[in-house]
Amino acid sequence: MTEPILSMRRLGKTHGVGAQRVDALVSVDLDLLPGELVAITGRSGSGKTTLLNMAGALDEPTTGEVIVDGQNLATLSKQELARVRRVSVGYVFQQFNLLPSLTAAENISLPLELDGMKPALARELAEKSLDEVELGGMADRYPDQLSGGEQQRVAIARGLVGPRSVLLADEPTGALDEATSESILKLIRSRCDAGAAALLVTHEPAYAAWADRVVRLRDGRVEGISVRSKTPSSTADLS
Amino acid sequence: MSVPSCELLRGLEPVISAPIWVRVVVGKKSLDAHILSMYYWYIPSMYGGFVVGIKEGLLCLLVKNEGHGYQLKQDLESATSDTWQLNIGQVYTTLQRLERDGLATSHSPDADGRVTYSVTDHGRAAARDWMAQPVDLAAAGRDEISLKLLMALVSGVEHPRRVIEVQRGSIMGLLQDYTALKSDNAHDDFAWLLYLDRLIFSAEAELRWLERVESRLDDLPAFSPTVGEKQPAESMEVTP
Repeated sequence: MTEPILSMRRLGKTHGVGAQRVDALVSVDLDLLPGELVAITGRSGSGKTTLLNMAGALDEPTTGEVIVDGQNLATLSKQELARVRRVSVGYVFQQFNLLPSLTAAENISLPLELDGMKPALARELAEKSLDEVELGGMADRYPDQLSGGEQQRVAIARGLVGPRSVLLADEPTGALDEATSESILKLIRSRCDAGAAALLVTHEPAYAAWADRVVRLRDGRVEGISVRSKTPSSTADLS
Repeated sequence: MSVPSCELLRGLEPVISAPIWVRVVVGKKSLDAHILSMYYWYIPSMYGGFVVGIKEGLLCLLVKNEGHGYQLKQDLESATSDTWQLNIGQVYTTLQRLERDGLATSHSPDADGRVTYSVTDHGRAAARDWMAQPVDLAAAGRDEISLKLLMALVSGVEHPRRVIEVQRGSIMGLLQDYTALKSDNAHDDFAWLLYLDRLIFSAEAELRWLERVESRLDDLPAFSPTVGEKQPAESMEVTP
């Protein structure tokens, strides 16, 4: 059986104490397998982003544990956690968060170089990753020379470069029009079909629908999970 | 009543109570869609609608060119990317009705015995009228999911939020399946994508509506039953 690449066990997050206490997340169990796209949906304040931040070692859980690539995040030092953020998981945010003074390729190769990779190899991986998001010819462009959709493609390429195989995406289409949003989701879907894993936070049902599983949170708890049929009826007939 | 191209598949393990299953067939591909039972308006548009639509479809084709039954059948099928597959008998019957109603006239049979039809001025006007009218969706007043929610609210048989959850899970699953079909569709088959997008947008609208209903539930002071004195069963989780 395939091992999950990201595993969350009885994950909980509490803010404040006493009367001010807020349970942002209550005992959530969630596994992400390689090749899987899982969407987290729910209203504002339901705990979506809290969950994503803990999955990516940006925030610490109050209870439970997060296991990324076989490593229990709770047992890691600050340096090791920083490494997980650089090497194991990639982020895509609503704001594309590219460094404006670096080219597309440099934005992608920088985290690899920070991790000690030789610049030439980092560059090679960055270019390969750009090819995979169909931006092969734009490696040397600066973010302000790219459209919003292209910038988000660069962010996805950065999220899944080299050894990185888990993409954490928080409303990645929030700033984009509908057609561009669909192309971004198609891209995330195809990267997952090629073996990556992605956790996608979105409040848009039509975007969540690209996922294999849709997990709906309510008040920090899993309210329901809906699973895509493995064999949509047309696939067998496609010639 | 026979339904060309849109096959009703009753009794296919209902996910929710009494869904209407239809199979939309486009060329070699087919899509089993269960048109949610609340979409009673789908029944006129997809069920009766298809039958009504044969008349309107033939009329529009006749406005373009005169033709005989078999040719018109093929033209209509090809215009809908084979989404509609017509029974030739139905085509002839419909052409005769068009003539009876003064919308078309028939000419004497040719050497092969084929009767050619052409449109009348009256028919031309009827085709324009049909195009100008919106499709009536107003039959949606009485639908099952609304009834179920309201009954949950007043009877305590089930928590309304649970009803919403179940419905939402079911529609989300459909939306995932439709989306998967869309991403599988490598070539651009216009008719196929048209149907798929329609189902996707309808499902999406349904989810939005459920979201809104849920907010309204949250605003209710309590889910106090108004029928009898019965309280919600204890197993129900009531969030004030």
